[in-house]
Amino acid sequence: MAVSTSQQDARYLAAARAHGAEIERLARGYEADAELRRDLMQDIHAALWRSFAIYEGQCAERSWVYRIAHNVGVTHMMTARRRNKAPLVALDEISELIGPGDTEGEVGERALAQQLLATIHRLKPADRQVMLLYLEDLTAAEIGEVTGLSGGAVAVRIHRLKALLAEAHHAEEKRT
Amino acid sequence: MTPDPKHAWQNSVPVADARSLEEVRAIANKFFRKIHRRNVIEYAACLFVVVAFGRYVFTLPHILQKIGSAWIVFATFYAAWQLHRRGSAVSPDQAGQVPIYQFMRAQLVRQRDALRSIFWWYILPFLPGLIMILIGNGLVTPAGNGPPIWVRWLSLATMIGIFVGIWWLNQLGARKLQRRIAEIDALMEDES
Repeated sequence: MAVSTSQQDARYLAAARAHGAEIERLARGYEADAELRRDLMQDIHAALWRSFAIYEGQCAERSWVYRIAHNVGVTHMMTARRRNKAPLVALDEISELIGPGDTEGEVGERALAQQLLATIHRLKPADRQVMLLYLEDLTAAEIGEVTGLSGGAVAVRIHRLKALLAEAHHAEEKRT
Repeated sequence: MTPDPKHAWQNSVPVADARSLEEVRAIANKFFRKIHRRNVIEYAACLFVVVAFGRYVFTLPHILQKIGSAWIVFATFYAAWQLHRRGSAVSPDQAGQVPIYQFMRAQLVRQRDALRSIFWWYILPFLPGLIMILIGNGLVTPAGNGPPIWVRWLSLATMIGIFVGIWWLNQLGARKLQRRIAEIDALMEDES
């Protein structure tokens, strides 16, 4: 059954309202440069709007949004890799979050978010996707539904991620 | 107190900038215009070959040259259709229907198969026409008047070399894509 344009518009607007901040964080994970990120965000929103012409509840709306957004993000990342050849690493190749830590409270939270972002930018696509989705509070099963990675592949990555975050937590505790 | 990583991450962008529908529609249309422009360039290149060889059908003297030129015209249409069918990328708005890696894998498999089979749909269709034109050229040129025999052999070898080069580069591309497909397979199977 074809979706009418008004339905498509309404569905897109509802999804953009509900998941807009998540999409923006996801775009940050794929593109560090603010100007290029603006283009990436536009591409994601355009793909999302077009996608709601064929969305009929095939999967949860959130999964739908993440699948489209990550696909556009990965394509953007692979195109950018032709310009920037800095090596990417897997989660098991790093022992701590990248970037400097900071002090307590609001500043500490902001510093941690910066460290998370710097770490995400160094990761290979699959590890990057799992980390982005984990930080958005998706369960392992939901991450599998969005990415198509096997249960084992998701579990291993979440395990490494938790270890990495625990390490950062211990380092911060020691400092304070 | 040490901040919670998930909380810190989600608080880094708590609210998104609002976008108007008009803005989003305009960007989506820009995407389609880009695709349209690419198609127009492809069709223009085809038209160039079709016009050039279409003219030869009427101007070249030997029947083999005429048939060969007509063959090239049809081969060009066939290759363009195949390129469109096999090579064009699937729009990202289709990506919601299956998980990310399933979608990526399907695209890579499609591209790999197009490159692997390039001989059958991009090289072979032109060969009979080119061979007919070459034979026709040889038959219409009076003995002793045409270019030396080594020039003819050189042009034949150059043509074969170009086709072999196209085939070889595409096989290299297909192997590269196959490595990426294997990486995705490893991620999708329970072995990591």
